[in-house]
Parts: sequence; structure tokens; C-alpha cells
Amino acid sequence: MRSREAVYQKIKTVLADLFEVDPESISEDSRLYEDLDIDSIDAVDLVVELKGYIGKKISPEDFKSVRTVGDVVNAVCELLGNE
Amino acid sequence: MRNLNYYWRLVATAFAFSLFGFGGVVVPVVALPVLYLLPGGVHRRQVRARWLVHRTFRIFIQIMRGLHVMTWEVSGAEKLQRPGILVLANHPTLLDVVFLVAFIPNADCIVKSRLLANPAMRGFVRLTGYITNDSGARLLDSARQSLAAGSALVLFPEGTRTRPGADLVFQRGAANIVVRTGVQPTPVIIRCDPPTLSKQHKWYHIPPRKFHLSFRVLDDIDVSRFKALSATVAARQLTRHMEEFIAEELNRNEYGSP
Repeated sequence: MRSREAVYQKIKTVLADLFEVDPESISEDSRLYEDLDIDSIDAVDLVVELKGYIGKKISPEDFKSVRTVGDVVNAVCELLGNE
Repeated sequence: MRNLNYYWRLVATAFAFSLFGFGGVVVPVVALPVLYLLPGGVHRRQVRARWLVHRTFRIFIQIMRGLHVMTWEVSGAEKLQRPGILVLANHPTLLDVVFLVAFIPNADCIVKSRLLANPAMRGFVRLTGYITNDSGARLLDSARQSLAAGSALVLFPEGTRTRPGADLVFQRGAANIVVRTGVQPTPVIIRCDPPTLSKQHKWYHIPPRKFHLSFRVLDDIDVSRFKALSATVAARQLTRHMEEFIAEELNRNEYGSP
């Protein structure tokens, strides 16, 4: 199992690579839509990218209530932990 | 200041709005049984409905001119007659979509789902199968299908009417469609002088003089240089590119440089 910190760092990298977000500006409290300008189409791409990282099928439903970067980390940790 | 011409235009504007509302209810009600009785599947029916709305709106824009509330002109309209194009326009007025559909025989439009709650628009939107924009991801699939079926897909990348005096801000849906379908966008530059029927105007806020709407259809924007990038980054860069391109064309002197 990967540590929560490792998951957070991974997500930061993904956000920077996919969405031109400055990694310095990201914190766990950053809101995806309001602060990082990630829209619903981006969210689909993010889920596809995370699928590769988690290594199993995930559905957009798992990320439905996600609002902040911290929420994404929690959702990913939960999916990893449920293996 | 307020002379006879002002009151004429106020009454004529009220008439035009009423006529549009009346037509928006009556035309679909009359057309529906005919369209359903004609042979062919859903697609044929929608294409016929779009042609009907196209003819209806053409008549409407002639009436608008005839009422002397406005004048209008279009250049490069032939570029809109091609199948499978993506038409991107700025959005100064309530009438933009009416005119674009009046210029395009098989237009598919991406409209706000709120229009389904508007009695004057609901019938048209249902019959034509216009794409109602509520979901980003599903929007891409609908757009792809529409373009593949040969429609001219009309989209206002701002997502809502332009705020007068503010910078153009595009949502990324339009660029995402371009990036993920490879269709080069056909820009239309719309200008309204003096400004009227914007989001800030109610119908009775008529301009001090007859207004003029102009539509300039430009050559397709070359997007080949965004092809090497990943879709998410390309959509961001292309959004900025299109914002700048259309803003620059808007600022260009209308009758000046070619």
C-alpha cells in the first residue's frame, strides 16, 4: 500500500502535467474547479489518468463528491486500501 | 429625444418578440405531425426539422428588417454551407443563434438546457434535436456524433452572452471538441451597433437608433500546431488562442482591413 503522502505527491504531479497547474500553488485545500480551473471534461481525464495509477477499474461515481485536492487523495487512498 | 421613430421601434420590437414567441409555439405544433408522418428515421426527421427552423428564422430576420427596427449583413455565408463544420461565434445578442440558424440549413446547436423551459424555444429545440449543454463529458460525445453525421455544429464558446466591455472569456468545451475531433473551427465575428439585446438589456431597452447586426464568417482556424500536445494541455492553449483570435477580429475596424 502506498502512503498518503506518496498519493498526494502523485496527484500533484498529475495535476501539473495534465492541467498546467503550478505545483507550488496546490495544497490539500485547493478546490479543483474554483482554484485550479479543472472543469468537468478535465475531471474525466483525471479519472482516466488515476485509473492507471490505481491499477484497477474505477468509476466516475467514486469521484462524484470530490471538491478539493484532499478529497481526491482520500478517494484514491480508499480505492487503494480496498484492494 | 424620444421621437416618433423611437416609439415605432418600441412597438415593432414588442411585436417581433410576440411573433417569435407565437411562431415558437405554433410552428412546432403544426410541423410535428407532418415530420412524424414522413418516412425516415430520427436523423432524417431532425434534418428536416432543422431545415424548417432555418426557413422560419430566415423569414423572421426578413421581418425584422422590414419592421425597420434593425439592419443586418453577412459576409462569407457560403462557408457555413459545408457539412460537418464547427461554427464558433462570439455572443453579443439574444438574436445571434436565430441569425446563424437562418444562414445554415442543417445547423445543430449547443444550447443551454434552460431553453427547454422557454415555451418559445422548447418546440424548436426538441424537434431539431439540438444538444442541450448540461454535462461536459457527454457534450463531447454528442458533438462528435453530430459532426460525423454532417451537421454544422454551432457553439458559443463563452457559454453565455458577452458582457459588454469585458474581455472575451471562453469556456474550454469548444477547444475540447476541436482537439478531440480534429475538426478545424469556423469563426464567425458578430457585431451589434449600438449594443442591444445583451444580457444587461431587457427587450424594451431599445437602442437610441435602429441597430445593425453584422456577421463575418472567416476562414477556418488552423489548429495543426496543437496536435502534438496532450488533449488537456492542447484544449487550454487552443482556448487562449481562439480567445485572442476572435478578440482581435472584433477590434478590427469592421469595414477596414481585409
